Amino acid sequence: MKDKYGLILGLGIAIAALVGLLFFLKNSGELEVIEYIYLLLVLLIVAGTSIILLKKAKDIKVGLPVGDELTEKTTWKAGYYTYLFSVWIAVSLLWYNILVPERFGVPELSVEQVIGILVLLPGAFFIGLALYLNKKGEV
Amino acid sequence: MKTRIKELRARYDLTQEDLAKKVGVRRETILFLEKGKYNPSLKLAHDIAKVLQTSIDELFIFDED
Repeated sequence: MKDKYGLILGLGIAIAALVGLLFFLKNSGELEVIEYIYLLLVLLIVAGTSIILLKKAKDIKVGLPVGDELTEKTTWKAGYYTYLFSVWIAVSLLWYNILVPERFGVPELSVEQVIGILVLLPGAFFIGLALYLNKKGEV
Repeated sequence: MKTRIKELRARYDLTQEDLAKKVGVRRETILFLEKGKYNPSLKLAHDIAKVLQTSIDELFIFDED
């Protein structure tokens, strides 16, 4: 029962993200490059989450558990690498703002853009890595 | 590490899904175990050995190298 509630909650969040995205697209005028990147990342996260949820739904249907010791291990591993990835992204963005705008004459990334990247990029990385590790086994 | 899970599973006419249900794991976990891509916990090894009516020693063959 707990698994079913988790599944329904996950589906709800995925649908809410898609609806939010549609509203954003409807109300926004000309999109900037960074906004296209955000959209792509959100779509990747929603698609990855949907794949995981569909797999879980299939397992529930045939009476199998949705998680076990291997999924727990791979999820922790994905989380650990995502943390390291986030740190590298944060440092890279800092160096980007210090070095790139001055040398190449491009605008600096705003705080909102940095936060957007720091939230969405590791999210997409985590989903991708979790899918990969669950497909490859203990690697 | 090699395992005899596939061989013993066939002896008892169990599919990967049947065995997974009996020991409470996902089917993929049984698949990875059979392929030697996952080293199970002692509890899972014990549970599988129990279902396949054998011992852990007989089920998992450890490579000294």
